[in-house]
Amino acid sequence: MHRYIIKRVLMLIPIIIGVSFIVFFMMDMAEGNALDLIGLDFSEEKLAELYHQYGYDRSVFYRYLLYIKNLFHGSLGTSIIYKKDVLDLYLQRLPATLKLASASVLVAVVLSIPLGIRAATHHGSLTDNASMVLALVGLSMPNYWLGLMLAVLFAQKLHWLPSSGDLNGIWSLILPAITVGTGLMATMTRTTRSSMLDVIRQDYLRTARAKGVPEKRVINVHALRNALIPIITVVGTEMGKALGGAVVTENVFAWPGVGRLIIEAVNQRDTATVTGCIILTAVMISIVQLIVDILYAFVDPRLRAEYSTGGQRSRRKTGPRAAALGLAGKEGAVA
Amino acid sequence: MKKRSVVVLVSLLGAAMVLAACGGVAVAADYEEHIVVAIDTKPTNFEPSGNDSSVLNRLVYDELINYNKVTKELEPALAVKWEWVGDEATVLHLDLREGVVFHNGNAFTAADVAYTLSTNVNANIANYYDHCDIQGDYSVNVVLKAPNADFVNLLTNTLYAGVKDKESCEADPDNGSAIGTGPWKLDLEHTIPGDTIELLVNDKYWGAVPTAKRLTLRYIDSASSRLLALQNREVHAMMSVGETDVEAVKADPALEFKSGSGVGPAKYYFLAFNMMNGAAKDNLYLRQAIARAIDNEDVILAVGDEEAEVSDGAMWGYDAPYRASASDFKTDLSYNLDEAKALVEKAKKEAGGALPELHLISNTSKSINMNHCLVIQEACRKIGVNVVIDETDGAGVNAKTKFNAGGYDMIMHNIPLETWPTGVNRLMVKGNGSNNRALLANEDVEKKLFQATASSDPAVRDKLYKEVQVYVHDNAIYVPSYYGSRNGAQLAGVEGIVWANDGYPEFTYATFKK
Repeated sequence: MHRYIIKRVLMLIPIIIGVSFIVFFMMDMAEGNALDLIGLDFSEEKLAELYHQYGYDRSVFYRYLLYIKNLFHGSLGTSIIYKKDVLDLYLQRLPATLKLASASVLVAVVLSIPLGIRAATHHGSLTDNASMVLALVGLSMPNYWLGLMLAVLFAQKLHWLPSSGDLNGIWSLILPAITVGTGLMATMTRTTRSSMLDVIRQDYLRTARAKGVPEKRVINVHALRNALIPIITVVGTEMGKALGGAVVTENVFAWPGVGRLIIEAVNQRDTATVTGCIILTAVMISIVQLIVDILYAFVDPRLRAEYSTGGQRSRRKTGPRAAALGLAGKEGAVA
Repeated sequence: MKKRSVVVLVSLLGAAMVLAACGGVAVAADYEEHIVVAIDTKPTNFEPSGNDSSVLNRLVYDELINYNKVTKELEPALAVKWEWVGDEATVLHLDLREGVVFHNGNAFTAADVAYTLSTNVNANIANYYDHCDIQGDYSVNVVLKAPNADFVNLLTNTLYAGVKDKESCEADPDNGSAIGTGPWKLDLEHTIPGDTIELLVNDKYWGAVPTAKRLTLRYIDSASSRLLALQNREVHAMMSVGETDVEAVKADPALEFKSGSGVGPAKYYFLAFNMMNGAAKDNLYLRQAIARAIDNEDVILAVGDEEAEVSDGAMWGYDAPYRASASDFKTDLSYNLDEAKALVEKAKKEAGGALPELHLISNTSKSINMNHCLVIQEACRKIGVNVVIDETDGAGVNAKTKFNAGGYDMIMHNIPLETWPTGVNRLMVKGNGSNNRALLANEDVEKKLFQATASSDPAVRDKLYKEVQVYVHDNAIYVPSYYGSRNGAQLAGVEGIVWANDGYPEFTYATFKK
């Protein structure tokens, strides 16, 4: 298990280099730079000094190598626009993003799992079809549209909830969380349904029923537990995405999160902020994925056994995640 | 009986006093302590000379001299007296206000003025400021490198002279400049730069102390989201109502629409030809033809600015002194399609055949910019000139027009009409001027500008500045379009906001009756 975690942490190094390389050079391809934006009224001497200070009088390769050197010394650089350390900027916005991401995933999980189970256990019924239509609607609705509609209804018309910002505690969170959560819910409902459909046809459930286990327990304990792994995978992936900042939703609700910071920084050609924030987001996503992998072990004893034996069985096939998804072998389920 | 009367009288008096006291409390409690404002430009840092947030600067810092936008007079602020020493405008003596303290309790002195001016990165200050001769704690001579009669006007702007505390800036280079002497102090602990700025009232302010205790500036990018927040009473006031929302705001009895009307318009919109390497730079007839093909009434209709006024052709400020008028110009560039077509024929001869396709830059930051460009494109189409609109954002525009000097033939742009009469407009024609979107570099113009700046004689300045304007007009370097407004809205019951003509309202004394 430890070896696996260390391996995953080490994998972050190429990820960071790759992400920083792509973002840094893409930012350079855009017209103008942050000094063009803020330095319009600056004296020529000051502008020349700043160009030299930030390396804009040298090639982009030089600037990138300088950035990487500073990165490995623990510095994500200083924002030209904010005149602040990028890590401080990120950490200042992270709580709002964490709050929104957690609330959205919570909304999605609370709604999607019961809905998915109900759809699977009533396969082909009106409930099943209605759930799938609901999921399709959730998937099809763009966040900016849904967000605006919710804001118009609950803020402008009914005056029940704030339309923007993060100044009113949990009340501020409700509309953005529903907006992001609706999209997630759609994906999770479909995953839960299909995963449950796979599981409820297994022999061991028939055995459980034959042994007189109540139907509720058969579904909620025996079936759900075995159907959880794909659901956890989707929850982890969506949580990771949300941690990168729900860019559109954050803009609609003027939410002070990381996504909004990145978009503003892109508009201002603030390369250090964009690159730094995206690197940190990549790290956060990797950490979430690692947690998801560890969670598999808690849910599935087969994987726990694999981790404890150094993952030899799964390495032989396609890795722990693939094993978790049922691709590495079919040893049989433990009811 | 008499005793009873005294008792009744004393009781009534007591009751009256209690009621009066309650009344007093009730008056104070009638006003909300916390004011929230939705703004459209985000304060990203707390260096008054290096950020782009006049709204925030005016709350946190004091300028040395105040410009009264209504009377158009200079008034004392941190400097109580100012005068040029000698005949040349090179040494400015300032007597400073005593008893002023910074937000951290440090006393304001001449050393802070010297520090503020010497660390200012803005070309308007840095190109002229040489040093300060401190003559006492409250007396200083500002020495310039070259004569500049407009320097006094620069000291009215917090961007140029928002006074910082020298001691805290030197002790804390990151946040020291966040400390000013203004009526509001930054609450950095609860502030998210670029999003939410929290301010607490400065109880030790040397001027009138605001009634509210807390002020929050919330950056909300979208005009419709700002309006939603106002309608939902999450904010008390908002900057910049969207063009399509103006009617809705005016029709809502709970809201008040506000604009800079009464103190003049906010911005001056124009079309500039690239005179450095644009395709029309050597073809005067082509530039004049385009100028005459554009109907600025159409432009105003397209941009939907109800408060806008068509420019009369002068490129100087709206009601500024030293302003040229139609009688000064030798060439008529007013809208006339037939004349425009005739000029196009001359332009073709000049070009030796077909006219080039012209690239017009539109700044994507506001939709009205694109509408304006579409009107120009259509006007050009009518006279047989093909125009391609290139969209780019603020950084792209600056990169093209200032630093890379090229890649376009025309640009539709605007400048804010700032507080002093000649400053900004001069920058439109100055070789290295920040608003020189035409990239004009004319030695004669430079010479005249230098002479006008150096002279304190209004007659000399008037003559020189008018000559510059006539040159620019007759050569169709800039095609003036219209004077545009900046607006805002507030809840009915909000008082004390000054909806300034430069588009940056002052929220210092905003109050709201519950």
